[in-house]
Amino acid sequence: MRSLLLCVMLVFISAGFLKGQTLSFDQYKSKYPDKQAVMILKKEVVTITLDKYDSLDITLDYYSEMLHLGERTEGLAESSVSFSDFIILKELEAKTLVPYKDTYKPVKVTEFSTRNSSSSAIFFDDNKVKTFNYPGVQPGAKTILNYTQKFKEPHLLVPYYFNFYVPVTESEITIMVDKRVKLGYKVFNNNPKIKFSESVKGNFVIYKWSVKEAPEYVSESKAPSLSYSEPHIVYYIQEFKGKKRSEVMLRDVKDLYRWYYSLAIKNQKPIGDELKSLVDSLVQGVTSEKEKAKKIFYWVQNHVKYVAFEEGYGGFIPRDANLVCDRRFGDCKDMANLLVKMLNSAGLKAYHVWIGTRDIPYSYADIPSANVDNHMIAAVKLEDGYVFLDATGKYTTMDIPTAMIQGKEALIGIDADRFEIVKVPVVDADKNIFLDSTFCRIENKMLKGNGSYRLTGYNKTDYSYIINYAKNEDLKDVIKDVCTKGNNKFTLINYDIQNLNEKEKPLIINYEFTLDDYIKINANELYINLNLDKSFEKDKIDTLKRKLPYERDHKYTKKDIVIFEIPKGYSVDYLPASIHEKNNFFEVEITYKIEKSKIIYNKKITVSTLMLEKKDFNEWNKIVSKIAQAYREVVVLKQK
Amino acid sequence: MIRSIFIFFALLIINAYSTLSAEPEKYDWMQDRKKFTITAADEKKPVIILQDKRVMEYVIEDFDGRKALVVYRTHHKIILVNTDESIEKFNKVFVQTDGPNSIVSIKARSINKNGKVVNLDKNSFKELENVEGIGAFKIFAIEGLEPESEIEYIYTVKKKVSGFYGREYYQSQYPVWNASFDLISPEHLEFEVKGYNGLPDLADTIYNEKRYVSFKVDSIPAAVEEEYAVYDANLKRLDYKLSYNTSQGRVRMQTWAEAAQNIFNNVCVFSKKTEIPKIKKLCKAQKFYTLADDEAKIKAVENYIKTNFEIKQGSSADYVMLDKVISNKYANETGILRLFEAIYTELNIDHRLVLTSSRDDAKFDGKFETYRYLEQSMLYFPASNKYLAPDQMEYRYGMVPFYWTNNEGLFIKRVTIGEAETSVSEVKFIPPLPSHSSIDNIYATINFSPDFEAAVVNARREIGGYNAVNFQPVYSRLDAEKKTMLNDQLMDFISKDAEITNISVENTDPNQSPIEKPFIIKGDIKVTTLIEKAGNKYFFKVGDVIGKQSELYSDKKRVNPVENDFNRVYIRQIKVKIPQGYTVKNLDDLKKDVTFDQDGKKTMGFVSTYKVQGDMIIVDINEYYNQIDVSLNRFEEFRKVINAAADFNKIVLILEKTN
Repeated sequence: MRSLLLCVMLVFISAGFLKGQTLSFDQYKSKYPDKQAVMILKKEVVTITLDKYDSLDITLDYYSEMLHLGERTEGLAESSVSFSDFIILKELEAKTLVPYKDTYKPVKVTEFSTRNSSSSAIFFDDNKVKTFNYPGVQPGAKTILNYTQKFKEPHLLVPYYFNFYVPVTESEITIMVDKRVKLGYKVFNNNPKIKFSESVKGNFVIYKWSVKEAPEYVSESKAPSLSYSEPHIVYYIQEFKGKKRSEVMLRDVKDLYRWYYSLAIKNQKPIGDELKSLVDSLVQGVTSEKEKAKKIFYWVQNHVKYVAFEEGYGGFIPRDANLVCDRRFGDCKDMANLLVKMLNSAGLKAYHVWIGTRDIPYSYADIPSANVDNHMIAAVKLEDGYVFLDATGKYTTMDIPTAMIQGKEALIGIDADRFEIVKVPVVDADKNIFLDSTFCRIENKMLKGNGSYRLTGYNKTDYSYIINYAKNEDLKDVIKDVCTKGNNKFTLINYDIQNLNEKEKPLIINYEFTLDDYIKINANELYINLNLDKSFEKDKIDTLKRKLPYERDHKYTKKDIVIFEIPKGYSVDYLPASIHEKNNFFEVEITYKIEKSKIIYNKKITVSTLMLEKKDFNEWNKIVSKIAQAYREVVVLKQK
Repeated sequence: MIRSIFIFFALLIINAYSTLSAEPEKYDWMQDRKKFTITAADEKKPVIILQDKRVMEYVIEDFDGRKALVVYRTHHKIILVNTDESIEKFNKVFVQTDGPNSIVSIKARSINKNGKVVNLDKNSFKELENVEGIGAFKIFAIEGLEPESEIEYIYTVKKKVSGFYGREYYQSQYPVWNASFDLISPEHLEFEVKGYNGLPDLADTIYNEKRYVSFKVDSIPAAVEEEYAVYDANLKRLDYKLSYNTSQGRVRMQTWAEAAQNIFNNVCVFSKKTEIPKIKKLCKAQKFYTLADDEAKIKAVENYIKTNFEIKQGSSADYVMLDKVISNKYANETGILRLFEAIYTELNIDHRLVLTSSRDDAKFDGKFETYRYLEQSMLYFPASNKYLAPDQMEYRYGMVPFYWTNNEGLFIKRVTIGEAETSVSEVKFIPPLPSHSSIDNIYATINFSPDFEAAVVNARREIGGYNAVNFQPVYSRLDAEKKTMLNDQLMDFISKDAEITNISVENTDPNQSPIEKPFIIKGDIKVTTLIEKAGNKYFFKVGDVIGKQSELYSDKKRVNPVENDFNRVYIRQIKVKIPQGYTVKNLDDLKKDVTFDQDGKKTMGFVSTYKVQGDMIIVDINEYYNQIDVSLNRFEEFRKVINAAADFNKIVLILEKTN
């Protein structure tokens, strides 16, 4: 009796837990009640071998199977596969298994449309996509995709992400590497659920990573890019030893640098006469090296526009400096190369710099591959050290880098063999000041006065974009939006902008305004809330919901000073208390003072972090609450 | 819409006239030309379009051994870019083509302020085969640009003719100096060209066996984008159409009657063999025949189709022929329209097919007969005076997209004469829905926490008609996370940082029209930022309770008349419980009365009143807009009503301790 029961139990257990056994539609539906679809299997097999010429042959086979659960999954019915000059699409097959009685009817996709891949940043490249629609998508349908890609440029391989936009039941990547080839790899955001195995089979070393129940991507606003939080593998080829020849590819950052140098720098044409005389005219009469660098940098910033042509190696090789100058446009590498040539021509030590923007979490020590960088700038060595020059940022001064590369590693190319890795500084909050000083009084029940904005650092850069990109007729509207405070009955009477085109001076906006329906009068009392600007009032982070850090472009200091003229015949009946709160990354101070016939309101808020981690959310919210509380305070004036 | 008709036309024109046309005219830019004279005032403008010359020449020529009608389209543009930012806007050019072989010629250059010319090398013109599914493009980046440079490019593209009508917009956000249009055709093809919004009428002349319709203007001001106005429909533009093929006599082409008949043949005629039997079978299976009355049938058919069928893009017969459509459960827009048409005809429900334009694009002009105005399709039921939009899956009987209303349209009626089926048509007005169809009402009861730290608002929001059509019909299909996001969005009208709890919603049946039952959402909203304080005085920002209102405070001179999207009404009732021991000092601030009428009818208004009942202050607001079009000379009335609502936002009740 007992043994029979045990037998039966074992049968039940093994039936339910058979390896690779998928669940039924209803089981998936109850497991993922709110999801439109689940990917049952997502699998990549990468094969790296040497052909008969001892050249690397790299293919990737992709297979995925998605089960549609929800009613309207039209969005998931559209799909695409990308390819380019470097990544050739060899085979592509897609089909829907449409539920039919107890089984499925396969319906193949027959119409594939080839489209140019469009990106707002790139004008022209060789990236294309094959797009198609899965037919007959409905709850219970399975859409199956498989394709094979060939990688023509072995230095450029694509990382594997375990997760996807829907939950993945089984996610795996297998890399089969010819024994003669040495593979390098690193897993980012690893977790104990990811299983790894390494084995040898015939002529191949087989690496396999797999994970069950991979969750969907977590995507939140103002969070760092997915590569910071999502588990993925970056792999690369270190070297290989064929029958007749061997090649070193990417063992370490030295190898990466040498490859970059041979592509991008080695064959650059020298500076021509026209460009040389331009440089001479720019630095004429200038003796200090710093000033020379400034003249040249600001010229490129002002005169060369960003237009990116990135076909094939065009994505890696800067165009000839002389051509870029004639055309008056180029991409980041073109501008960097132009800068280096021009600075060198003026006798300065200038170098090409490969760098990753803050979107990329890796350092060159993590992985020696092109995945670490996506940008090129120039560096000039002056008395105090390296100054980084990113001409793609239109308004940044020479002493601050573009916000997107703060804190990143710069791979500085000194010559064919030598390079240096130097960290780009993060600009302090006190260099990015946003100051608004307002002088106001009451006239005809309205608040009237004038104010002055003084913006430095990235604040100046940000507002330079806003002002310069306003359509001419709308400039007054744009300035009004900048100056509006109190409520939306703020009227801008007139304004004047100073130093918009003087890069090194703070941006100044002087304005005259009226503010209607803001102060309240009742009997012999007058009420005014001097917190005209309410920044941060509603910036609490939902600690229950938010999972990812909160990223800012830059650190900054906001200062608001309001000098309010107490109307004749009134005196202060109630003045709010001052507050001062601070922690490691956030500080607020609001003070109220009476000086003769004026009330002086002084507010200073400092944010001194680029990335607010989850562990600091509560601390952040505490100060936001204090700020919101302080903003509710109203000054009461009573008639004497 | 219905493209197959045009192939029919093209054949007619070519077969009738066997001689090939003369060579198309060739255009070039001036090799060494002087720069345009720019004044100091001009220099302040970021962009001036110095020249916008467009030519369309219809030519009959040899195409793969057969005669074909093709059109050569030439565009010669010169743009002055005065700022860095305008250089960036204009330095990349995209020209739509019919593929790489359709470009007859293309050139580009820049001329800087010193007269230096930089020509674009042939290799700098790149091909894109398929951009976003739109088609092929030729793209290039202009070289050598600096502030005050002139960009110049000229190209001619040859395309097979796909329609004998078209539209050219001549106005944009930038001022234009020399604008011109030439439509050239073989003498026997007579085109009519009409200018709108101030473009001049066009003259036509015959010269050397070619017919020329042209216009030339030396200044077109920049268009002004304004709130509460349509943009494209107000732009200066011209529409053109082929009206006569004199080789066929003096019969007018592309009349409304002809268009109606063509559309009728495409949409309202079904195969007795393959389609009608399937329709009958469907009606029987879905029990349409036995429903109580016509309205019940209309609704049941619409609910059935819009729940079970999907609209796909594509022109294959499978998307149009009803036997395939019924078995596949998908169709293109024409197919869906045919499905509705077939079923309502089978059920003997009297209806009309209505074709119109979207009035934000261009108002329907009954006097200019062109297919360009027949882009949106609807069904009209005379018995109930209601409309239905077959290809708008979220809409239901009685409601069609608002831009199709307050507009005229072509009404097509099926007429049976013996065995023959044909159509009659007329141009009629499609009225907009009244304001009570589109509500956005708020009923709020407010209590203050004991220490005045927070205001707790128990709110009910009722959103109906056009206000709800974007989310009410799809609400039930959203997953939990998206539902929560939407609920928060609908309830955070008081303050984005409010704590929202106890949410419940009603009326989420996708088959129910938003004009029949509004979407109702209820919940508790806790806000800390609504109360300001000063010692023992509290200031309650009651105005914020109705949500942030749009405003027209700017005193910039208005250029366009007002054109509202739809008529609407906002009813707000706010009940505020005054805590014991406190009084409100300024209740009269709550009173507002700004109303206007025209010809004895209320056109728009904002009225707020209050009453006190014990410790409750009850505020009642009625804001309404009953007129789609408000003329320019009545703009101030409209502005005052909008601003009355915006002013209400500023109302603060002063609470003082009663001594």
